[in-house]
Amino acid sequence: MRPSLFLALAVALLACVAPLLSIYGQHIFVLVALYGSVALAWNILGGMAGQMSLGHALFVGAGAYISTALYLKFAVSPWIGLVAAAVIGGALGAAMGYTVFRRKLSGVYFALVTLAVAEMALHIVSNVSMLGAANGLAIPSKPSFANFQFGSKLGFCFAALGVLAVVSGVILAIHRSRLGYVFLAIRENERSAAALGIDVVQGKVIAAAISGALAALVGPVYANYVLFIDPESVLGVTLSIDALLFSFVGGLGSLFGPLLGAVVLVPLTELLRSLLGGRLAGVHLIVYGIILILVMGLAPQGLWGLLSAAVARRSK
Amino acid sequence: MSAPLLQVSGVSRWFGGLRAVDEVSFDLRGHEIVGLIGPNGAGKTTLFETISGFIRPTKGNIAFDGRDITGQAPHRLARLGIGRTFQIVQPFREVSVLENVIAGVVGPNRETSDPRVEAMEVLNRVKLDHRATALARNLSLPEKKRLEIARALATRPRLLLLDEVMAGLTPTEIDEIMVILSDVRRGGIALLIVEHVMRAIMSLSDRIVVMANGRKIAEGLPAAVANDPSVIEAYLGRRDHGPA
Repeated sequence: MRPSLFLALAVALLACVAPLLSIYGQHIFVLVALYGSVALAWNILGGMAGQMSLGHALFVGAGAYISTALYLKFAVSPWIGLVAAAVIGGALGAAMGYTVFRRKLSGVYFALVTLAVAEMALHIVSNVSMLGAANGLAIPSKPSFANFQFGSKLGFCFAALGVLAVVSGVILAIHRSRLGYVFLAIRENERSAAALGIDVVQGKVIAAAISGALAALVGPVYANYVLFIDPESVLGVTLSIDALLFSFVGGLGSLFGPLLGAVVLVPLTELLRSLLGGRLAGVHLIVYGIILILVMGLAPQGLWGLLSAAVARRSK
Repeated sequence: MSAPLLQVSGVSRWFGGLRAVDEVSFDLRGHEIVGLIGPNGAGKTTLFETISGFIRPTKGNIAFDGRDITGQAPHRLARLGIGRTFQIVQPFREVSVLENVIAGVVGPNRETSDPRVEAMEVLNRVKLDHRATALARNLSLPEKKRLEIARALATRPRLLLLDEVMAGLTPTEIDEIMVILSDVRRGGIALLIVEHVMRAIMSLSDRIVVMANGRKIAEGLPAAVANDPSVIEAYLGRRDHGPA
């Protein structure tokens, strides 16, 4: 009972904080919640179940394109698009997982397959005129609740927070159920897991499906926030790497470490970009890289590990 | 007479030209402890891996509780009631001892009242309850061996396959494991034990199966097997000097 109560309180608190932020603060809030959601979703497969993906942009992109295409071509509300995104994301995750894991391929092989599939999707979408090809799709601004356009940044704060809450809720539910132990066992030692009655292939496929479905939820929210998507921004390898880096910096496999990674790194990226981006294009990426190396060198368990160690020391 | 719990019939496993296991047959009844011995390279571990589903037999059949289980996946066998340990201990290193055992409780996907309570009871049985919150990687070797047993017990097996759970332990630690194993048998679990510690296997086992070069060369009561000339020869080599 206590963790879910804690989650509800945290969400309520954030919902109260959002209106107090400046417009720029609300922009950062939305980005942190969305990137945090992608990182948390990545971590279900990459951290909890131990199967690294280098292609999570595939799910975000699929979600963004499904809902946007449905809205633009068939006037389907993005609210329904959100559900469609989750279904398609889950199906993609399951299909990719089943194809690879059934053949007993893991680790580097799975990572490379995810990278390849995401890149393929990027190039396919870049050449399909119905999806706007390389130019992308622009969503005309028609603010209304049914259109998933809220007219203010605050509305999107709540939408992004909603996605974050759903992702966090699912993570808590997994953690407290048999599935949490299935993932743990698979991550730690597949032979032992099988000897304990755990279907290793099935467990990994389930992890991929949940992870894909949740990551896909972010796509429609992002698309309607920015009102424009193109292959590079929602299917590009940068987004896939971000999901992985936030998890590593925040704490791989820890329940909510990846969110912490996003909380620290998203504002940092924005700050560095605004400080340095104008004068020396690209320098912010170098500084960003150095900070990443420092964090990973000094705190291999991630920021979450650092934090929980500090809490443990305080309580002694 | 009850039907055997485990029936191994003419099981062979070849790796290329090497016959690691060659036409081995034996039975094991419920509540029985059978010891599997033989010199290094005799094929004991390979036979173990085929019974637990990790390796497919090239030939032959394995039946458990009257049904054919040849070639079934390890997790299915675990759900049917065949538990196993690994010769080289394979704990879930980065999580607590208790979580290791809970994974064993929930692994077979059966109804459980409270996995945490059930796991603590199992830890109690192997005298590891005081280490419940420790990370598995921080355990000593004897503790890791007991964790290996605890995790397998947590799946509620009817047959437990133990692969050298005493290797590398001191005599006192071996005695502790023997007490635990006698206790396990009293709980109604049949055991198939691969072991090199002769003192232990001779006193625990109801029956002994001896393997050498992939074949079964003897089977019988511990005392009879220990005096069997072919067994002595397999372990010590032929006496080809002396009176002809």
